Amino acid sequence: MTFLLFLAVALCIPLSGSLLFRGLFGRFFPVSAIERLAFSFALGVGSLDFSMIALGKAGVILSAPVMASAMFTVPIVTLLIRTAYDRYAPEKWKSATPKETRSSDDIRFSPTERKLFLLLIGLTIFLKTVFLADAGLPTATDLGHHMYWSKVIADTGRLPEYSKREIVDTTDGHTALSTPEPISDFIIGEHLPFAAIAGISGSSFFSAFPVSFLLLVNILSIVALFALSVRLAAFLFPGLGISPVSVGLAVLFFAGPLFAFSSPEAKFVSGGVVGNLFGNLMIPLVLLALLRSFIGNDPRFLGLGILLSLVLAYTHHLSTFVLSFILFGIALSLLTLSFRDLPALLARIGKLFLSPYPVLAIGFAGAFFFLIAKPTYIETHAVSTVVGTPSKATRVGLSFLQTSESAGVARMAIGLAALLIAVTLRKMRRSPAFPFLIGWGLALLVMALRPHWVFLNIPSNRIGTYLSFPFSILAGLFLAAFPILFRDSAKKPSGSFLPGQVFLFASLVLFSFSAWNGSQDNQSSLSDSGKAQETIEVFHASRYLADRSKPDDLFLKDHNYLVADSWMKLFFMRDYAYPLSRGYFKRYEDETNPREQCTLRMISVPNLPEGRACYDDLGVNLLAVNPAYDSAQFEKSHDFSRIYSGTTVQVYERNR
Amino acid sequence: MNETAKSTVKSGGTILVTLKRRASGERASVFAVLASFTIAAGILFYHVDRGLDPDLDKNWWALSFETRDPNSSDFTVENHSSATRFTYTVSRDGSTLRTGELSIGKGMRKTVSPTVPTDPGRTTVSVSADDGSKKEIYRER
Repeated sequence: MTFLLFLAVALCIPLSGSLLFRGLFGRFFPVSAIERLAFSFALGVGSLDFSMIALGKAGVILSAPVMASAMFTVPIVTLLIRTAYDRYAPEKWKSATPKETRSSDDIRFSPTERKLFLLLIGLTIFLKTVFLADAGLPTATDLGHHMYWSKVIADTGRLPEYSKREIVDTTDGHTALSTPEPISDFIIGEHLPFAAIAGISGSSFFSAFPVSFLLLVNILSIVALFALSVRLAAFLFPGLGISPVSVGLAVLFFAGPLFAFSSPEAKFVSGGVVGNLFGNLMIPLVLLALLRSFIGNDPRFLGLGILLSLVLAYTHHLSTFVLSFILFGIALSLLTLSFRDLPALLARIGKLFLSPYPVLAIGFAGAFFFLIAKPTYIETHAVSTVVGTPSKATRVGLSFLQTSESAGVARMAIGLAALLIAVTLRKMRRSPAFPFLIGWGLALLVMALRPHWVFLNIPSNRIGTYLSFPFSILAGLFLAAFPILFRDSAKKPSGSFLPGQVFLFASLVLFSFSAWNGSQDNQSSLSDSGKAQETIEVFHASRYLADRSKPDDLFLKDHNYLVADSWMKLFFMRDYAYPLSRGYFKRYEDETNPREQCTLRMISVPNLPEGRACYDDLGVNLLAVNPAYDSAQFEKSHDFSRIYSGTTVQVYERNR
Repeated sequence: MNETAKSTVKSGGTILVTLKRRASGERASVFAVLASFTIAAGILFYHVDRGLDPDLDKNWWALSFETRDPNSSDFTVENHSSATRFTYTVSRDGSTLRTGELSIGKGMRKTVSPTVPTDPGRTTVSVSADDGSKKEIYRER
């Protein structure tokens, strides 16, 4: 029953998005069914987010009926206005907007291509499900953090204040808990869809629903990538006899089953890397909308691209930042490659921007930003912290080998070969789609390999994960275009550069290398199952404490050896930083980012004077640790009572 | 058949062909994506529900004081293991005050309320299961 309720609510998001899509762009908007699905989901998320933010800011309690209404009110009203406009608006008004015509912009599959699509997408989802069946338990640290905020919204019906209490040094040499300080790591759009699903369907956060919803986002990001690659191929290879769908299928091969478990894929789903997953959905969709707007001279797509960029801006800061660099890279490529026709190009772009749809989208974005709510990272001025000279060793850029591993070695190798070929082929270079591809790939390569060139101060490995999509497209282009290049050369034996047997061998090697590398990545990512019992024990101990908790209790737990410890805060719902946490040991030794030592000392050396001082200063009286690593120091002390004993978790209370 | 009728039949046929192509082509792919997701989500719910079931394929038990009251020595054994017989000992600063046996089925819990002196000292509760596992809690007063 829970599953069916979750499914119904989760699928209402693309449904509401589909209504909004039709309301905004009319019945005959030239998109294929696959594009419509991905755009609808993204618009559905956006509509839900903006409605909930507006209602929350207006002081409305976000109860289940309110959230359900928030999901459908704007799409239905938009659709009604559209219908009235179509029926009653004077013809002279309608002439100002693009003509509504029945379009034939479907992505046309041949029977073989359709079977291959079903096979590849089915295999991709199957592999991810196998991985997530073991790794899908609510244990991941990031997912626990995100679900805390979603639960705050679902429980209180209010938008959360992103803040937490921190341990700080006082002027008299002691330590104390601060008042709640704003945190910029979280953005509201990451949490509202989960809060709405939980609130409306009644699904528990301690279930498969968060991971299942993230899987849907992940699957749709691959669908979006497929659609984008088909459109790119259609514009890159006109008249060369290369089927755009076959390019899309090759891209699906590289982005789907081959690296199904890798970091931006199933690992991010199980790990709860919510923002990146939404980013990996929105970025291809924004690029797809902009590509179709630019090539088809259709301002409606530009309006759609602006709206989706806005949704991303309220969902994930890093992805928004990455998207802005990608757009800069595309603009630079476009200007460089069209240098001779610059005035015409600028006039064309200007005309696109000055059309009703983009103007309305920009107007909506501005009104929402200035009148209703700004993203957290703008309010806390966090942008300045990611711009500048790299401040840590982890931010100075990846080596080429590390970059290859981030993107997938096969994808990177074949993608770079495709990049070289694309640059040397004049016909491709002149294609209007070429700047989109090259700008995307090169912008990310510079960000990952040489961040100081663009004054970027963020962990380079996080940028590396964004490389997998453009390099999947490049590798797919190479794989699909290779036989055509050979066929052309075979027609002209004098110009042939590959004899038939060599070509066959090369194709087999290429395919085998890709399949081997991708599947090996999958194998190495398969997690050990068996965390279930430890998880249950930690949850049981948390419930034990939550049921017996008093307002003046202060609880500390260990992050190093306890499973699913970030989920413990969902049992208390007192503060994002409650319980306090002993973090990874290396963090206490990081000289570039000095941090408080009390959470380390209170567990590692509770009987030494510095440990005792921390207890006295802060008032911590409860601890949860793994007895295999941290029980001797408490057992031999008369300051602590062991009040709970499980196999992998023990709870101690400090005697007052 | 006049020209208008022919044209109507032709356009009707075209629409039918288009609808058939759409239904069997791209829309079928969209349907396949959503259907595959539905099945995948169903499998995930099934697996995670099993994973979060404290008894299914799991073997653990926990011992705890029933309350946070320092004057109470009531303790609870919650059993999710294959063991069913538990032996407990309540001691005070090393001296045994009480021993006893508990029979607890899988998924069940039992609370014992021993009487212990109220003067300062350490009260220890040790429980052994018939599978050889042992746990201990204590409280300083």
